[in-house]
Amino acid sequence: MEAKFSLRVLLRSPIKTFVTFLLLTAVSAAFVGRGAEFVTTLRAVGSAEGYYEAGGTVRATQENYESYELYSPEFFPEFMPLTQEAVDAVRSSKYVERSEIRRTAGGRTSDEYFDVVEQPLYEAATNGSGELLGDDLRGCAAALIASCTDVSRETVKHLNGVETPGHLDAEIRVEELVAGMPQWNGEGRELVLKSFARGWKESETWFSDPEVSEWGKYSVDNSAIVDQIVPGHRYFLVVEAESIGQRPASDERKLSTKVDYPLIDLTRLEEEHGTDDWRAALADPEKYGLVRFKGDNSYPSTRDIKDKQLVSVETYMERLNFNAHTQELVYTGDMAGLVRFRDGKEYIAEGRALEPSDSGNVCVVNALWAQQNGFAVGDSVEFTVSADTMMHSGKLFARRLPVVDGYMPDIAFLEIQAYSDLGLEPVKETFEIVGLWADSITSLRERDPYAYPINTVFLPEDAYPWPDGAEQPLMPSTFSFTLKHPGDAEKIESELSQTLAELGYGLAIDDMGYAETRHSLEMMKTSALVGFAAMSGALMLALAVAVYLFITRRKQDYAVMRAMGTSVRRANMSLLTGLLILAAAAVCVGCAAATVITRDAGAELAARLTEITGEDVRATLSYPTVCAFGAGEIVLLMLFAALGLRRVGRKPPLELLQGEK
Amino acid sequence: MAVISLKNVTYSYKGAAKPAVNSVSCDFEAGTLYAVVGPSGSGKSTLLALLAGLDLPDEGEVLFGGESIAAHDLDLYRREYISMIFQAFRLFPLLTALENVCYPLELVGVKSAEAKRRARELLASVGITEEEMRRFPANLSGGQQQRVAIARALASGAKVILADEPTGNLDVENTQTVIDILASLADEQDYCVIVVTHDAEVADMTDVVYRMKDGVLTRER
Ligand SMILES: Nc1ncnc2c1ncn2[C@@H]1O[C@H](COP(=O)(O)OP(=O)(O)O)[C@@H](O)[C@H]1O
Ligand SMILES: [Mg+2]
Repeated sequence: MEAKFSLRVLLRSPIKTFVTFLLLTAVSAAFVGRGAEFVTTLRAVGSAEGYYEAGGTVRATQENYESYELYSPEFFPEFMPLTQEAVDAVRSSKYVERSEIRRTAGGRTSDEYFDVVEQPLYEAATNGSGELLGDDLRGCAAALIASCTDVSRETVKHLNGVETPGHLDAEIRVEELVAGMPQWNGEGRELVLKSFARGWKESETWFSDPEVSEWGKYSVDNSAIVDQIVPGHRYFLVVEAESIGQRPASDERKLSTKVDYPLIDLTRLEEEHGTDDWRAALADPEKYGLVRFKGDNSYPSTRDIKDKQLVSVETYMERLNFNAHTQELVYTGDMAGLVRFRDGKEYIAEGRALEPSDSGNVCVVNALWAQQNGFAVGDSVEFTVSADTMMHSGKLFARRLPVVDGYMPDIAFLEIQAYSDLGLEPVKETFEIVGLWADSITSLRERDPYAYPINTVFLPEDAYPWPDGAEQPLMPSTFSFTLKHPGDAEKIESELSQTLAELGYGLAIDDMGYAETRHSLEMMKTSALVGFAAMSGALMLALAVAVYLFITRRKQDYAVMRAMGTSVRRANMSLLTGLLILAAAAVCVGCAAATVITRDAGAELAARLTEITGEDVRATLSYPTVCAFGAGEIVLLMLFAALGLRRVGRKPPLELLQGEK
Repeated sequence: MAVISLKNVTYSYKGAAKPAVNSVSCDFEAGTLYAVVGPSGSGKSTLLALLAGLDLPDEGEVLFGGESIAAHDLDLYRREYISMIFQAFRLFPLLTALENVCYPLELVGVKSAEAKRRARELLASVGITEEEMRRFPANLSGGQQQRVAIARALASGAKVILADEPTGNLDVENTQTVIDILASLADEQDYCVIVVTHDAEVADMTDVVYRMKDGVLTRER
C-alpha cells in the first residue's frame, strides 16, 4: 500500500519526477565517474610510486684521492675504496631501510662438471654441419656473444634460452662456429671478419688509416687468426653485436649491400638495436650474417691490434679459454637483502638463502645449473676460488677472470694490479650447497641485464678469500643501501652530506627520477580529488533537491497520514519508496553512463602515468568501483531522507498539521 | 455512558503564555451531534485535536470508553476509533476521490477490491457521482471535496467523528448538506459527532452546544 501510494505520487507528478530523474542521473554519472576515476587514480599513482625505489652507495669525493691523481679519480670514483666509517654513517641513517655489502670474485669448477653439458652441444654441432644454418646460428651466436657485458650477457641468455637453456654461456666447437656463419660455406677456413670503425667516420683517423681503401669499405682480414682455431677444441669468445643493416649510417648500408643479407656486427649490441636484430636474425637465420670481432671499450682498428693495445682475437680466446668454467662468486652476509631477491626477481627455489649467521663453506647455487650438473641441496661442490676481482666499471663481468694486461683501460688496470699485487694463488675449496636460487622471470627475453647469470654462486661473507691481515678494499659498487621511501633522497642527503664530506665521501643516490615525477603524481591525485569533491558537492545538492521535492514537499500528506493513524514507519515508507525507486533507476542509468563516459579514462590515466614514470603502469576503472559509488549514492540518499524523516516522525501529528496549514 | 470524555484537560503550545485548553472536563455521548462554538483563538481546534489523539494533554486525560487513550497505541486509536474531518479538507492531492476514501480502508487491511467497493458506496451516500470519484481533489468543488472528506472519515468505521469547521469554506447550500449528513449519522446510526463551528446557524442545528472561551469550555445548550 505504501508502495502504491508512493508510485502514484511519482507517476502523477511526471514533470517533477522526470526532472528529478534527469538531475539524479546526470549527477550520478558525474559523481560515479569522478569517484571511480579518483579511486583509480589513487590506486594507479600508488602503484606507480611503487615502481620507485631510491638507493645508492657512497662515492669518494675528489679530495680524497690525491694519491691516485694519475688515474683521474674524479672520473672514476667508483674505483676508490670506501672506509668502514663511511659505510657505518650511512647505515645509521633513519632513512635507510636496509643496506648490504657484497663482494664478488671469480671461481671455477673442475672440468668434470661440464661433460654433461658439453656432450649434447657437441653432437648438435657435428651432426649436420653445413646444413644447420638456422639452429647453428643460435648456437654460434650464443657462443660468440659470451657474457662480456651486461647487455651481451642478456642476449646470451636469450639465445641460450632458445637453444641450450642454462648452458654455460659460451662454449663452442669450431665446427659449430663455422656452421653458424652463412657466408662461410664450410670450405677451407677463410672466415673473413670484417671490421670498420663507425665512430671515426668523421675523424681524421678514418681517412688516414691505410686500411681504409674507400669510404665505408673498411675491412680487415682476420682469417689468419681464425686459421689458428683448432677444430675440436673448446673456445670461449667474448664479443658484442649490433646489426649493421639497421644502422642509419650509410657506410654500414654500403657494406651490407656487398652481401645478400643484412649483417650482424658482433662488435656492438645495444639494447635499442641489438635485441631486436637478434630476434629478427633468429626468426630468419639464413638471411643474416655475422661480421667482425672487437675488443672492449673502444672500436678496434687493425692498428690497435698491431700495436697490441688490444688483445688479438687469438689471445683473447686463449686467455679466456683457460678459465672457461667460471663462477661468479658473490660473498654476501645477507642474501635476502640483495635488491633482486627483495624484489622477488630472484628467489630461493629449494633449501634456504644464506643468512648473516652463515659462515664457512656453505653456498647457494642456481637451480638450473645444479640440475644440469646433477647437484642437489646437501651435495658438496668444489670451486677454485681466486681473489681476482670481477669488478669493472661497477658492473660484474663474470667471464673476464684473468684480465689481460694492456687490454683493460687504465683505471681498471689499477684495480687489477692492486689485487694481483697481493700475489694470491687460486685455491680449491669445497662448499656444501644449502640452497638453490632461481630466476622468477622465466621468459629470457624479459630478463633484465642485471639478472644474476646462472653461474652465480652465493657464499658467506667470511668466505671471501682474502689473506689475513691484507687490507680488503671495499669498493663502492659492493656497498649499497635502499631508502625507506623514494622521496627521502633529499632528506638523507642533507642529513649525511656534512659527515660524509668530512670523511671524504659523498652520497650517490638514484631515486629513479622520483623527485621529478613526484610533483606530477601529486598533481594527478589532487586534480582527481578536486573533480571528485566538486561532484560530491553537486551530488549532495541534487540529493537535497530530491529529498526536498519528494519528502519535505510531501509533509502535508505525511501529516494527514499520521493524523489518520498511519504508523510512522508506514508513513515514512509511503514517501521513501518512490524516491528510492526513482533514485535507484537514476543511479543505474548514471552508472551505465559513467561506464561509457569513462571507458577510456583508465587507459588515459595509465598512459599519463606511463609517460610520467616511464614504467608500464596499468589502470582500469573497475565495475565494482563504479557499483560501489552507485551504492554509496543510494546510502547517502537514505541518510538524507532518514534525517528529514526522523525530524518529522518525532513530532506529534497536531504539530505537523499546524505546521502545514 | 460517555463514548469519549475529557478530564481536567489542560494543553499549552510551546512558548505560549497561557494554555490553549484550560482544565476542561466534559463527556460526549453516542447518538448526539455536538457543536463547539467560540471566538477565533479560543482553543476549539486544540480541544478537537486532543480528542482526536493528535497529541496528549499536559494535564488531565482523554478517556475513550472509560480508558485513558494515553495508555494505548495512539496510531491505532486514530486509525480505528475516531475519524477526523479537517477544516481545509486535507485530501491527498495526488489521489483521486475514490483513492482518498480507499486509503483508511486499506490502512486497516481491507483488500483493494473490497475497499473500492465500499468507498464507492460511501461516496455515493454523500452524493458523489462515479465520474467525480475519478477526479483529483483539485478538480472538485469545495462542497464536493468536503463530502469526499466526510466519506473518508466514515470509511474507517469509527463511531466518533470530529469535524473542525467542516462548513467553514462552504456556501449555504453545501453547509446544509454537510450538516444534514452529520446529523443523520448521529441520529440514525448512533455516531458521536462533534463539530467545531463559528456559524451560529450550524450550531442551531445540533443537539448540544458548548462554548469555548480562552481555553475554558462551558455548556451553552
Ligand atoms: N502552534 C501553536 N503554537 C502556539 N500557539 C498556538 C498554536 N496553535 C494555536 N495556538 C494558540 O492557541 C490558542 C488556541 O488556538 P486554536 O485552538 O487554533 O483556536 P481556535 O480553533 O478556537 O481558533 C490560540 O491563542 C492560538 O493562538
Ligand atoms: Mg480553529
